[in-house]
Amino acid sequence: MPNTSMQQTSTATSAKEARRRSGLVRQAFRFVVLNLKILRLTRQHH
Amino acid sequence: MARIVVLGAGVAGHTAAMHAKRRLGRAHEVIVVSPNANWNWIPSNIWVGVGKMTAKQVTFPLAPVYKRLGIEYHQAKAVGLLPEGDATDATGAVDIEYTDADRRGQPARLRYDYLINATGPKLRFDLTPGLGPDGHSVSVCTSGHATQASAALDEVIARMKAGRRQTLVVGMGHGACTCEGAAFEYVFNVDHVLREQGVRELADVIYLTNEHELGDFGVGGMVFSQKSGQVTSEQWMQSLFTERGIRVILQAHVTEVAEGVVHYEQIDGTVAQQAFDFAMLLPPFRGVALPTVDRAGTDIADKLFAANGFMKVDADYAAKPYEEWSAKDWPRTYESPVFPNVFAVGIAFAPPHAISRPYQTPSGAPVAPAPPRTGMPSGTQGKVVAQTVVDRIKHNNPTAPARTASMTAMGAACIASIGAGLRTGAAATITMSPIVPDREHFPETGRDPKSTFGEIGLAGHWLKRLLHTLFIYKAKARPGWWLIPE
Repeated sequence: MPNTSMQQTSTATSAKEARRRSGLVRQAFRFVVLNLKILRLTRQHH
Repeated sequence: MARIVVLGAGVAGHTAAMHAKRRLGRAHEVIVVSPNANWNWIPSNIWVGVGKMTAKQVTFPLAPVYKRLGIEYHQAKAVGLLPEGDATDATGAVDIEYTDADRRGQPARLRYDYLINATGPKLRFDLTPGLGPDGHSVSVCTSGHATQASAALDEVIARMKAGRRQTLVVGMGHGACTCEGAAFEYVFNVDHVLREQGVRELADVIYLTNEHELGDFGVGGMVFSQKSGQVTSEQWMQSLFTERGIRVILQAHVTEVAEGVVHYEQIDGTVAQQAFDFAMLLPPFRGVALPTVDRAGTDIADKLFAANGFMKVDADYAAKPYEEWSAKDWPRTYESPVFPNVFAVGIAFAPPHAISRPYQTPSGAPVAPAPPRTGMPSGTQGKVVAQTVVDRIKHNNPTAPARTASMTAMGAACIASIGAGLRTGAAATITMSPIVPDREHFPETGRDPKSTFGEIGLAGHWLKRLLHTLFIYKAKARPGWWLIPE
């Protein structure tokens, strides 16, 4: 008989980990965007 | 051989000295006068103040860097200015008094062909009785103060871990303070650390400020264009403070800090006090006005310095009501109108007025955030003034046109930490352009909507941490330092 409880826990942990990683991936993308926005500011003529 | 003397080795002064020396090489002299032995990356003092960094991580000794660059360095404070020279020599001069262990108190007179005043602020804790580390509150203005603040915070956390409720007040220690952004950063970092330590439920955390509304930051607030429409910095901040359960006292002028109690007035006439177990309250700034004499020895300080101690430059200082303030009032070249070989940059220059609308209490106390001069505009001003001086030296033309760096044509990025941690941290990343609103060019909000932006997230913390490393690398004049923008 398959151990559904353990499978469910494992699935929940994997889902949480996947969400955490996609959050980090999104933040990495935002990190690049923020750097570019600031670099653009430094090139202004004043 | 020309001599450039730079007073101050903060962001503006150190940047000016490095760029000037790089462009002039050995043919001309660059001299730095600073009472401090170390350079301090001030934005990270916040993290020292909550124990996430040490003072050593945010400072480094100046002397070895200047020696390597061929910059003459005097660890001294400026004590007098003779822009017309003296009886023996018409060359401008600055009187200094050494602060290093070997020569403490000894005077000297340094001649200059060009003077760049980048002295930064005088921290006027004395303007509020009981304010500051010698009184009843802590500060994060210097790395030393921030270390003390961290120790005081540890004591409060220990008391909470023992089960006792504590009240923590963070903010502005006077109605005319600036640096609201720093106080904002500190209160959220304190909140973050309390949560990490598992004691946040036992803390009442209060932000006490002279801002008329949250999100003012001394720049009159901002309007961000987002996909969902426009949102004000006030709305942005209100949701953040609510989310973190931080109580806010607005429109306040602190009149006294007694032991465990801060007394304040507000513009609606409220006179109140707030008890505290921990208080970090920033001091108001004044300029480092130097006694200044002409060749005959007559006092001419008021020709160079405003009443608040900052140095007058090419700004319009005519008193006018808020409704008549204009972007045109702000300086562009940072040149003294009286002595064209004297410049003031960073916090040292006298702004024509504030940026935020000023208020006062019924008793006449100011509740008027002073205009911030943050790292980015200060560094840019230092670099641009250095370029002006270099142009004049290289072309042997003391009246060659000055380069410009107006805060009404310049943007700034502010990354305000709201908690440190590689995976758990966050920061509010804000860009605004221009820094000083220009309603002629941008009638709706005073700023360019394409360049005025705000975002909160972990990426902002990574960015702030990166800037810490990058700017210390740059200030140490490591290879390629000049490639890192101001």
